[in-house]
Amino acid sequence: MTNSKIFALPSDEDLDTEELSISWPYIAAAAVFLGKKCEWYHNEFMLCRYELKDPRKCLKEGKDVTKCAKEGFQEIKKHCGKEFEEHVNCVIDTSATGTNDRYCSKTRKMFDDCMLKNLNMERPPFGYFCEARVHDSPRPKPEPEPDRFTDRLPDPVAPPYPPPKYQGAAGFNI
Amino acid sequence: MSKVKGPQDLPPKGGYVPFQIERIKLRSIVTGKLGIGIFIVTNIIGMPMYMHSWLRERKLIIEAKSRELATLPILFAENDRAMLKQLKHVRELEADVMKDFPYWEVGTFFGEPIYEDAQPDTYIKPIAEELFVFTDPKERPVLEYIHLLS
Repeated sequence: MTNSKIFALPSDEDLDTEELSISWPYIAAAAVFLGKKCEWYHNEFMLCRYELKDPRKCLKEGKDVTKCAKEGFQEIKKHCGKEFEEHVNCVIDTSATGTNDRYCSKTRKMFDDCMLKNLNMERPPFGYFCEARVHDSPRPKPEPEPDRFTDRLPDPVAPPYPPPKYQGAAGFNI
Repeated sequence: MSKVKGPQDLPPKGGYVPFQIERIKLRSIVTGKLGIGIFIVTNIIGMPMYMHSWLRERKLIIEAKSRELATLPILFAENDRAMLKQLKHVRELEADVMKDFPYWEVGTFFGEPIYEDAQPDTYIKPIAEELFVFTDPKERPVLEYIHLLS
């Protein structure tokens, strides 16, 4: 289905954009700051993906996410490049996956101080991205898919229920 | 051999020792009461220590999960684009490979779609086999999600 001629794939212009040319440990180290900086774009993109369930319709939002992340990385490199590099090197040395910074609190403190001083960006509070959030999107809500099964059972009655015929099902109706 | 000299073997004086028929219990080091006592004491001492380290570990887990959730939109955005590009590439390749085969339609089995019940323009997440059909098996990505195990 995804590969047949009926399935419309977007053009190259829609797909081509400036990608992040940076490896995973750097993204993971800067992720919390980028997530705070680009929070609206991230929420918009994830909501689009979740609601429409189609990556073709969320290309613009995805490009915004990548663009915002790229700008964030450029800012970090310009103002806190040295501290960032030191922190990531420490993380790579001490962690198997290149993300865990439990043994790098010293370099992380230096990085955070630099970010706060130069870019006025504070590290988000503990567990900030694990919290549920409400996002007000300008995109209209997608309509539910029409049901294609014609011989299905009728829908149950809406909440103002009719009075029970035989004194209700609860109790002993003798 | 009819005549045997010497005294005949007789039972010892006072008779044989009686048979040992009563149960001999094994020497028990840890008795039941001692075992229960050890269980309770280790739990009372160990549970606060376990709780202490678990709370510390849980904080680290939540922090790692928070970091991971912050990265996901960036990765998904790039991943979606790369996947669509690969789909286009695979479609072109298939059209080129099967161009001399009569009655072949790209992405279908002689016009019969993969999913019978799906609408024509529905997006269904392609499996890895579909994306890497024309790839050398040695060059396929293995352990795609290894970075999520941290």
